[in-house]
Amino acid sequence: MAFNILIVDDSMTVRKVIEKTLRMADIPLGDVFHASNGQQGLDALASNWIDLVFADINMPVMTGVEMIQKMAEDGVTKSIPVVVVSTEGSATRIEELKDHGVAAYIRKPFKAEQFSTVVHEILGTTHA
Amino acid sequence: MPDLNTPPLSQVFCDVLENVGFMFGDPVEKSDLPAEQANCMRAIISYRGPMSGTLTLLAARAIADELIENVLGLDPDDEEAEQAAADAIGELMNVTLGQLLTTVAGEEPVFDLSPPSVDRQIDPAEWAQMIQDAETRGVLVDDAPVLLKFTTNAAA
Repeated sequence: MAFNILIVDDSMTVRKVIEKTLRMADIPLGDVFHASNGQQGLDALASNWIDLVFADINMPVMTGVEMIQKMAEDGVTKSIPVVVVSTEGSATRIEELKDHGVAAYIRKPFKAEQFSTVVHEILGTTHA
Repeated sequence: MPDLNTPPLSQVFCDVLENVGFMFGDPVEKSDLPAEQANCMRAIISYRGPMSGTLTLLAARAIADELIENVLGLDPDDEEAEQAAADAIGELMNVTLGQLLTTVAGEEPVFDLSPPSVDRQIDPAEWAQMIQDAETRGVLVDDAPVLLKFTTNAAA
């Protein structure tokens, strides 16, 4: 089974690094979609089957937190796991995100091994 | 208000540069840096929370070129290099500010960070002005110079 992934971050550099890290992690990937803000992320979710979302917090147009809240209000998207990848180190903010149902939080800069472990746990895939 | 520029600012930047870009920087005295710098980029990112302010960087373009080569595998002559350089420097600032705020304010406060604003080519006079600012700190990445300034106000 191949997993379709959505990466939502206003930095093209981060989106490419996340995609590269996923490909190196031996995760069976289907399509990988990119969005540069929360609204574009919701648009991609509305028109594609997505198995896992990676989202930044601070983005223009619509933040990652707003996007996650909108996803939770939608019967289809509320069950899609979201991994927040952000520079934020606030324990308060991380607790808030967990309250919103975020599956995991990865702080930038991240190590490829840490990233891989989290994704394999969420997808239930084998960690090589 | 404590001096938030030294030692965290330069050291946090160097640590992030190493982790994000596989590049090695050293905090230096500003007297070790050139008084003028051509071919220079500027990035600014602001934050808001229990305190507010900005982080500003002026850096030789060579640093952005090495960053996109290390992180994205792009050559400076590639078609997309210009945009990628601005994006990569912006992300470097984003991560630096996130780490810096945790270092100086702890893990409880919540801060909102603005999207970074990056100018790919600035007037050399801006470098000459910023290097004279008492709050500016200096870093050398190989032979390429960087200026950093972190400002903060107690109330957001």
